[in-house]
Amino acid sequence: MKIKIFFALFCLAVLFGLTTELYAQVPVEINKKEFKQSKNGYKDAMTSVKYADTYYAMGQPGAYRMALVEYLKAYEYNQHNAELNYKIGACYLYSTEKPKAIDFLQKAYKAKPGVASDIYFLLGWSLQLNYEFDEAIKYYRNFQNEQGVADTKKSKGKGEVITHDVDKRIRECETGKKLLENPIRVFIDNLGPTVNSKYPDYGPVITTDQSVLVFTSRREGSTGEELDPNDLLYYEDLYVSYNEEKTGWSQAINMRSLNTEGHDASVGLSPDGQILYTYKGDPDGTLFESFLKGDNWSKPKELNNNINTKQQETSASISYDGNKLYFVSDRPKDDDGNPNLGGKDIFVCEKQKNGNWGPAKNLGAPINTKYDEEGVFMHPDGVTMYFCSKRDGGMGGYDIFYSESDGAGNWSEPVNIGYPVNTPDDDVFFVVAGNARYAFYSSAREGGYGLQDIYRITFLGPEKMMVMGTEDILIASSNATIQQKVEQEVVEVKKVRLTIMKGTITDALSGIPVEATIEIVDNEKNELITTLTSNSKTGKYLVSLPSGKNYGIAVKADGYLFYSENIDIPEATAYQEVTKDIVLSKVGIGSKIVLKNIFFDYGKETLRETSYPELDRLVALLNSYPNMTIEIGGHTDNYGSLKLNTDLSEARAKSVVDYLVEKGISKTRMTYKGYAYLQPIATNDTDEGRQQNRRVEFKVISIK
Amino acid sequence: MKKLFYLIIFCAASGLMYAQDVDTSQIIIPIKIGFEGEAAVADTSSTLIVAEDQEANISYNDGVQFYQQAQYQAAIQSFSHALELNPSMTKAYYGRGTSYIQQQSYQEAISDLAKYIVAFPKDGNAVYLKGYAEYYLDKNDDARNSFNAAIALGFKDVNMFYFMGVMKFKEGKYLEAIDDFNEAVKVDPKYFFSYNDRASAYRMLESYDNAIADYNKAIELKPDMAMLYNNLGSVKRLKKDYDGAIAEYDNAIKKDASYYYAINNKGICLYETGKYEEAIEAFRQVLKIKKDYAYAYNNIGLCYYKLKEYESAVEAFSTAISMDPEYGYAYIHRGSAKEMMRNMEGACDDWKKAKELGMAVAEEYCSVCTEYKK
Repeated sequence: MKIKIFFALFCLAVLFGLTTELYAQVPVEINKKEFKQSKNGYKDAMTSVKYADTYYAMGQPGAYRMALVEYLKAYEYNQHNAELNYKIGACYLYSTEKPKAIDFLQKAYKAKPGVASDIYFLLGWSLQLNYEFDEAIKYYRNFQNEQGVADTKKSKGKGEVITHDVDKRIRECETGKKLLENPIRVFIDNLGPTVNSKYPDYGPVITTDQSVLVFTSRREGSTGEELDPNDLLYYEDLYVSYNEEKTGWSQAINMRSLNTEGHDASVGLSPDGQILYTYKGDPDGTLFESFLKGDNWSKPKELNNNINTKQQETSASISYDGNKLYFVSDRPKDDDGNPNLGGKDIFVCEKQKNGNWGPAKNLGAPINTKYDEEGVFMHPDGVTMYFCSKRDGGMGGYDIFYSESDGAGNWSEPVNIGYPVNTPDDDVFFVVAGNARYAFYSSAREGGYGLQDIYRITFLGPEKMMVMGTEDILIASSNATIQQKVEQEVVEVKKVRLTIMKGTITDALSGIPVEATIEIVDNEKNELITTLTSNSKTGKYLVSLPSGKNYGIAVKADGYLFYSENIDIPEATAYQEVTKDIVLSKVGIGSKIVLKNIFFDYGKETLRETSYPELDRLVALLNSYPNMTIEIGGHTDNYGSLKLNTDLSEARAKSVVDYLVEKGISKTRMTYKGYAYLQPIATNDTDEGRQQNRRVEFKVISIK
Repeated sequence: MKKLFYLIIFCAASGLMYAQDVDTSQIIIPIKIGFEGEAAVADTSSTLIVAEDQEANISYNDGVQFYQQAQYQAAIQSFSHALELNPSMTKAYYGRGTSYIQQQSYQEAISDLAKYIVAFPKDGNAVYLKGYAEYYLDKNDDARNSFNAAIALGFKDVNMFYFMGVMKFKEGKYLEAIDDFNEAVKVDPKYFFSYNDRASAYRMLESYDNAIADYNKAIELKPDMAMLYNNLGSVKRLKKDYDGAIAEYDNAIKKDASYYYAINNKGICLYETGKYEEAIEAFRQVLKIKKDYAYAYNNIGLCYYKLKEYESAVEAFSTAISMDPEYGYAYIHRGSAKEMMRNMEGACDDWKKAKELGMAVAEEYCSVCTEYKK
C-alpha cells in the first residue's frame, strides 16, 4: 500500500511539476547524529525520516499527511530534534490539522532558533491560527527583518496560493484583533453523528426552508472506495440528509445515482431543492447541474460553455427566480472582455429566452478583488450575496463576507460576517436559510467528529438590551425617585424581506400529488418572474417571494384547470413562511377556478392592467380546449344593496368576457352572470373574508 | 400691621429624606408662620367695657396663641369660633388658612386664603401661601399663577422660586427650571436645595460638568447628606468615571450606611467595570437593607448573565418579577438569559410579556419567535 501511494504521489508530482514550488519549501535536513542515543529503534527512525523526507519534498497536502505519519514515528524515538519538530509543525500547517503545528514549531525554535529560514514565518502563521495576533505580528516582523521586506509572494500552485505576503498577514492579525473584540452572537452547533463522520464532511447546501441538506463527504464507503493520492482521503461523494420535524437530521444517505468514482462535490442547491449544482475537479474544474424528478436525480449535466471553460469553475448558486447563476471562475476575462481582478472571481450568467445561460459577466469591484473569491451563495431574498474571500478585511485564509445588491447591478462594500464564524483559517461554503437566522457551513473546530464537520450557525442578533435598575432622589424636597432614562441604542438589524410560500399540490379528487408548473408573475410589470415545478412524487413546492411586489401565482398541470393565487407583499414585509396546499381540479363540467389575479377599479367594472396576466392565462386555456364553453361569474361582498352589487358583479363579469372576446375567443362560448353577495366563500365579517368574497369565477359549462 | 416670617426647618426636611422607603408622597417643607403684635383688643382682661366684637377678638387672639404654640388644631377651632362671632373678621381666615397649611389640609387652606386675598389683594405673602398650598396639591398651573402674582406684588421668597423650578423640572422643562433655581440662589445663596435640584436639571440635560459643580456646592452647604454624594456619584457614573463615582457612593454610604441607593449604584459601577462578583456582593448588601428591592435582584441577574451563569440569572430575574410583576426589563432580561440557555419558548414567553407591558424593544425580539414554535 505504502509503495503504491508513494508511486501515485511521485507520478502526480512529476506530472504537474509542482513539487518544489507549491509551498516555497525551505530545505531542512535532519541530522542523523542527533539520533544516535541508542541502537534500538535508530534504524527504524531513520527509515521513517527517509520516507517522510521524500513525501515532504512533494509538497502536497496528502504527501504532508503521509510524511507526518512517518515523522511522528521518528518523534517517538527523539522528541528533541529541532529539525524534526520543525518538519512536524510544517506538515500540520500544510495539511489539515493546522492548530497542532504551534507546539512543535515552538519546540523547534527553542532548540535551535535558526532551524529554518522561514521559522519566524511559520511561527507567525501558527500563532495567527491560534488567535495570538500580537505575538504573530512579532514573528512576522522578525521574518521580514531577516528576509528583507522585498520577499513577498513566493510561490503559486494549482489553485493554491500560499504566499509570504507578510504585510497582508500582519493586516490580517490587526483585523483579527478587531473582530475578536466585537464577536457576533451566534450558536454554532454540530449537526451530529447522523450527518457528520470522522472523515471530512463539508460543502453543505440547503433548501431555503432547511428541510433538505446535501453535502460532500470523504467518508468510508465512497463510490469506488479509492483514496485520492493527492491527500490520501476517499474521493468526494454527495450525501443527503432530511430535517425531520421530530427527530432532527436523518441518517445521511449516499446519493449513489449522482456519485462517480472520482470527486463529486456539492456546490449549490436551488431554494426549493429541485436543482443541484455539483463540481468535479478533473480535469479542469467543471460545474454540473442535476434535476430532481420525483425522488430521482437526473444524471449531472455539464453547464454550458458560458459557464464552464478550460479554467477552474468551482462553485455556483442560483438566484431565487432561477434567472441568474452566480459562479466562481479564474478565467482571465469575462465575455465582455472585462479582465479578472485576480485569482478566482465571482461571475454571473443570466438565463436567456431559450432557457440557456447567457454570457458570463465578472461582478467586478467591490465584490471581486486581486485576491481569491470563492463559495458564492445568493440568498433567496434576491438582495444579499454571501461569499468568501481572501481580501483585506479578513483575519486569515478565506473569510466570509456579505454584500447587498441595489437591484441595478451595484453591490455594497462587502462586510466581514465576523468572529467566531470567521476564523484565521479558511472559512468557506457558507449557506444561509431563507429566514437568515440560520446558516450552515463546515469547520474543523474542536469537539467535532473528526476533521471537517458540518455546523449550523444560529444568529442571535445584536446583544439584547440590558438595563440596570437604578434610581436617585434628584429633587431634594421630594423623596420621589427618578430613574435614569434609558437610551435605547439603535442597533441596525438586518431584516430579511422575504416570503417563502410552500406546500403540496394535489389532485382534488384523489389527493394524489401532482407535478405542476408554478408560474410566478409580477402583476404590476406583467412580467413572468419564474417558472418552477412541484415534485412529482411528493407534490411539494417552494417559492421565494422577495417583498415589494404583487405576485400572481398560477399553478398549471396537463388536464387540470389552472389554480390562481394572489399574494401582495409590501416592501416592508419581514420574513414569513406561508404554507399553502393547492388542490387542482381536472377540467370537467362544473369545475371552476377562482380568478384571484383579476383586479378592478374601486366600485367600478374597469379592469386594471394588473389583471392581464391572469386573463391571458384564461385565453390560453380556452384556446387549448376549443370546444369548451364557460360562464364567468361576478361576486361581491355584502356591502351595499343587492341591486347595486348585482349590477356591479354582472358588469365586472362582462368586462372579463369583453376582454376575452377582444383576444379572439368566440362570444358564443361564454356567458356571464352577476351573483352579487349571494354565494360567499368566506365570512363577510372580516376584511380578509370580504376580500375573498370579491372575486371572479370561471366555470366550465361544457367540453364535448 | 402684622408681620410674618417663615422658617424652613431643614433638619426636619432632611430627616425625612433619609427615609428608607420610596413612596410617591412628597416631602413637605414645613412653614412656620408667626404672629406678632397687633392685639385684637386693648384690654382683654376688662370685663367692664365690652367692646364691639370683643368675644370674636378674644377667640382670634386665642387662635394666634395656639398657632404660636404649634397647636394648629386648637388654633383652627379658635379662628373658626372668631369667624362665627364675626364673619367679617377677614384676618381670621388668614390665621385659619395658615393653620390648615401646617396641618397639610391644603384644600381648606386655599379656600380661606382666597377669602383673605379678596379683602387684601396686595398681600403678596398670602398670595404666595395660597400658591404653596396649590403646589402641594399638584395644581401646578394654579400655583404658578399665585407665585407670579406674588412676584408682581414685589414678594420674594427662596422657596417660591425653588418650587417654580421643581414644577418645571417635573414637567421636563429643565432649562426653565434652571432659570427658576437661579432666582432661588439669588434670593438665598445658602439654600442647598436649589443647588441640588439645579444640578439634577443639568444632569437631565446631560450637562454633567455643571451638575458636578452644583452638587459640590450643595455638599459644601450640607456636608452630611448622603443623597448629595449619591447624586454626585451618579453624574460621575454617567460620565463613565466609575472610580470617581464609586468614591462618591462610598462617601454617601459613610454618611448613611443604610442609604441603599448609593450601594445599588456602586454595584452598577462595579458591573460596568466588569467586576461582576463584587457587584453581586453590593446588590446583596442592598437587599440586607431593603429585602424586596426588585432592582437589586434584576441587577444581580444581569451580573450572572455576564458571568454566563444563566440559571442563576433566571432565578434572580424571577425574584425581581415576583416583587414587581410589571417590571418590563426584568422580563426582557430573563428572556435573554433563557435564549442563551437555548430555551427559546421560555424566552419568547418573557419577551411577549414585556411587549404586553408596552416595551417596544420586545417586539423586535419577538420577531424570531414564530420560528421556534416549530
